Amino acid sequence: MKKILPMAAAILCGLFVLTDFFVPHPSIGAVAAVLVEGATILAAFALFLGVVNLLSVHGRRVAREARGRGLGVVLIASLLATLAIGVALPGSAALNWVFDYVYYPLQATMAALLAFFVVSAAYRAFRVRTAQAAIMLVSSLLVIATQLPFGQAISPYLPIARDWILTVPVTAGMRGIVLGTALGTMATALRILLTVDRPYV
Amino acid sequence: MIVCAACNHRNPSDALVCEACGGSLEHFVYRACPSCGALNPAENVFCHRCFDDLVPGSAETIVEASDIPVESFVPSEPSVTDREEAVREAAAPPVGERPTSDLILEADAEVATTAEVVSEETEPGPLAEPQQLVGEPIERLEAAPSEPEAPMQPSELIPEAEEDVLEGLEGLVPIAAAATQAHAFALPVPPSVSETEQHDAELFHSIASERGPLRDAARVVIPRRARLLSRRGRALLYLLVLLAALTPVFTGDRTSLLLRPRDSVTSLARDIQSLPTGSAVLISFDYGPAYAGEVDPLALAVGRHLAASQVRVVAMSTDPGGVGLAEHLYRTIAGEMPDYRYGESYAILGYLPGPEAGLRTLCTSLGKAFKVDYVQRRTLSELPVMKDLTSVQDFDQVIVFADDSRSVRSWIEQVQSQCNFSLHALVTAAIEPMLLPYQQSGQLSTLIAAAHSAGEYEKASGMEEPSLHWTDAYGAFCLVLLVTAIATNVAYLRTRARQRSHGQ
Amino acid sequence: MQPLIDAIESLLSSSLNITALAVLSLFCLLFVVFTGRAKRGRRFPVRAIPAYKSIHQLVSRSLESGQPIHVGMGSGRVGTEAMSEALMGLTVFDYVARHAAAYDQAVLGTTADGTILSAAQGVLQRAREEAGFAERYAGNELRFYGPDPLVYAAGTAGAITRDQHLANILVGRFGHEGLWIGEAAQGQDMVQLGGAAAPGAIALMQATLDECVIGEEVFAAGAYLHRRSHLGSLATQDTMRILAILAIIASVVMASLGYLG
Repeated sequence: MKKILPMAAAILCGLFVLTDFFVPHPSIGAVAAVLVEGATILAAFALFLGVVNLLSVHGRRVAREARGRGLGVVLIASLLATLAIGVALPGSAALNWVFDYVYYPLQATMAALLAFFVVSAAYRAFRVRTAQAAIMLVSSLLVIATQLPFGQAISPYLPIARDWILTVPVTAGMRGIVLGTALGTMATALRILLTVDRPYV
Repeated sequence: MIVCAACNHRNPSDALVCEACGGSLEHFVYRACPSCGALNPAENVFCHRCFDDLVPGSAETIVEASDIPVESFVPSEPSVTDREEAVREAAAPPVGERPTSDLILEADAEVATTAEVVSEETEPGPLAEPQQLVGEPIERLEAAPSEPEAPMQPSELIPEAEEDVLEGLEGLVPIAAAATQAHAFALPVPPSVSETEQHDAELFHSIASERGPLRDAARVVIPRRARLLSRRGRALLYLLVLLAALTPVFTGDRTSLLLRPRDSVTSLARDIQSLPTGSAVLISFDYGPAYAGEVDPLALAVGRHLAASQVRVVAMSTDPGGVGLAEHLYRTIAGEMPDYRYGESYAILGYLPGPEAGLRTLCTSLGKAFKVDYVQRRTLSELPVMKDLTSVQDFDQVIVFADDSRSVRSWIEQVQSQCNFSLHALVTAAIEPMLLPYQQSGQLSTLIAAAHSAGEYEKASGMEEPSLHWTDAYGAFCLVLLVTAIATNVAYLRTRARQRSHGQ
Repeated sequence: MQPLIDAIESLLSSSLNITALAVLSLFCLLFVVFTGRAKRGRRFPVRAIPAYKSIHQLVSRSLESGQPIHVGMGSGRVGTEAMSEALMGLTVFDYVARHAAAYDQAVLGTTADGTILSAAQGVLQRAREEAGFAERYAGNELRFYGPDPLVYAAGTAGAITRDQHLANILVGRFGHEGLWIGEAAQGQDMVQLGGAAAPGAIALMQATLDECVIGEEVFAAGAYLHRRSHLGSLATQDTMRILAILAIIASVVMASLGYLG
């Protein structure tokens, strides 16, 4: 009973939302809308759980005086400060300051680091050890060349080559992967809906 | 209980097929303890947790000493005739069977014969006594009447467990009671450990419990890729990337003069230019600060164009960080144009949670999705800019700035499929290929990669700004990648040549 | 009765809905048939995927050496379209956690989503209870770093470099942050496996991981590891893929011949 009830609830909710997609009836739509809004609320509570986990892991590290506890203190302090400002003063200048001078630069910095990692990954990936690696190297350099913003000044055929590469081989590959991903998504969802998979309850 | 490897169902120990899924239990991995339920490896006989039998009857039942009732012993006094009779009965073989004592005597006789042979060869003095003792069993053997030997059955050789060896000797010696009584034993006092022994024991323990080095462990499992880039090489590459990023500072971004707007950019600029005054455009800032460096310049160029065209703009976001970016951007534009006021010319509705679910509500009612606006906390109907705008269908254009293809797909699947409108996607270059199928099918009116499109858009809209577009950085970065490709292959070829020369 | 008629009419009025319903019905039918066969013990031939084979070996090695394995479940969230990828990460974590719990070993799991975190906590707790070591369940074996993907990457990179791990397995919803985590772990000399369904992430993770699963191979994790029930859905996917290919080829031929307007 402990497992059957949640599974039955999950199946019913899934079938309701699925039916709403195919049959746009007002009453079904109303129930489905409530269910979907409920999922959003649950996700918010799950975020709260995540914050609790974060605080407990780092709090424990600080209490045990383990390695990296200094950063744990910074994390906890900044989390609580931002939370307090966001809850007490939403849309205020203080929150804007935190966003403009803390969150924005840090996020941009982390994304910028990817450029360095891409180059070091390219050093490993561009080794021509096999025929496949050679094809990958040639196609990568070709795509990079066609992506140049001033490519048209170099050759009028570069933009044409870029468009062809993007619309034909790249799109074909993307479509194949997206089709496979869609099938995998359907299969996973059906496994849960039809209770074939073990529910994570 | 056998745990099914497929479905984890607990099956009886003698099951061959799983009761739940029907799978074969031939190669099961775990057994569950019937007492405490703990999982144990298949080869275990007793539970590692509670020490109970995993398979009934597999282990001997241990009887505690305290459980055996012990009666006080009262020795009887047997007569001489009883004693003699008992000895005779013990010595006489049962009918039809050879007693085991005969077998033992035969074995002793063989030993004695051998010993006699040995003793004859050696000096008789030291072996006198043993010869005498050995001689006794031979005499007894000769005295016992020999019966014609019948071929022995295997069962005759094996003494029956039920046969009591001490049968007939009851009362003679109080052995039976003593044998059945569990005796308490005292553990011997351990000898004192010397310092050397203690040190050896500790050394043994540390060696036995020492973990293997990670490198060896990893190498055995799957072949690791060799570390191709040393620290210095990595630092050099990173330095090159940094220099590439800073190139426009030194070169003055000259290549931006060579920019030519693409067709898609020109088409968008024309669409916005053709909007009548007072039209409404919904802009969704579905990207975070991580990719703001790439998308913000294009968003600013489009925002300026819309402001100059006196088009009403309503901004929102399905990304939590996008709202802050929208506010930052429009603060900049409002600072440049004093007449561009919040609530009259533009409004920021805020963050819309639940990507798919939230977007579906836009089709029905904006007020349902956003109760109040983000900046002034007023209901939407109180804002002049929201006049006659109740759902997404009331907007002339919808522009989505995104760093994730899934958010654009959500817009297409949840909103555009339900209510028909022009959807323009201005995205990061990384996700542009993933959205091309939607552009080719007509679901997206425009698809532009933001990378260096800001400069193109400014040219196309005729609103050029004297700011860096960092196009020199793109070119320099491409050059760094080319250098990296050449360097890695040169190093690889040199390594191969060196290996070949060593091999030769 | 009238509402039912209205509902059917609205369903039939949209060709998109009819097509989607037909595809879904066919999928369900094949799914039920193949899953039933899988549960009855029928074997489906599957090709070897080196990454999953390596996971088997790594788990054994982890149990012998006592060094934990890190399983990164990505930034996918239950209730969104990333749910399937997130659940695959959870499936891999389930496999690793069960074996670790049976031998009373530690394990590390990271995620950027609270719903996956609570599900993973349940998985680990149940694994420890079934192994008979319920008291060994520790909350710090599962870490939440999120919900932003780059935040997740930064936190995970710190977690796996702070303590020594045998392997780093990344299966779930990953974007560019997969490269971040992979590069951070490069300096630690640990085995790295994993993959993603997003094409952009695949390209980056292929360059940095030792063994990579690509696209839909992520959804085969359960079938290759320890869930025979997933074999049926794998067969269904393959069958539907073949049918889609045939439909595409037929459409191209018919369009070329002018039969399709």
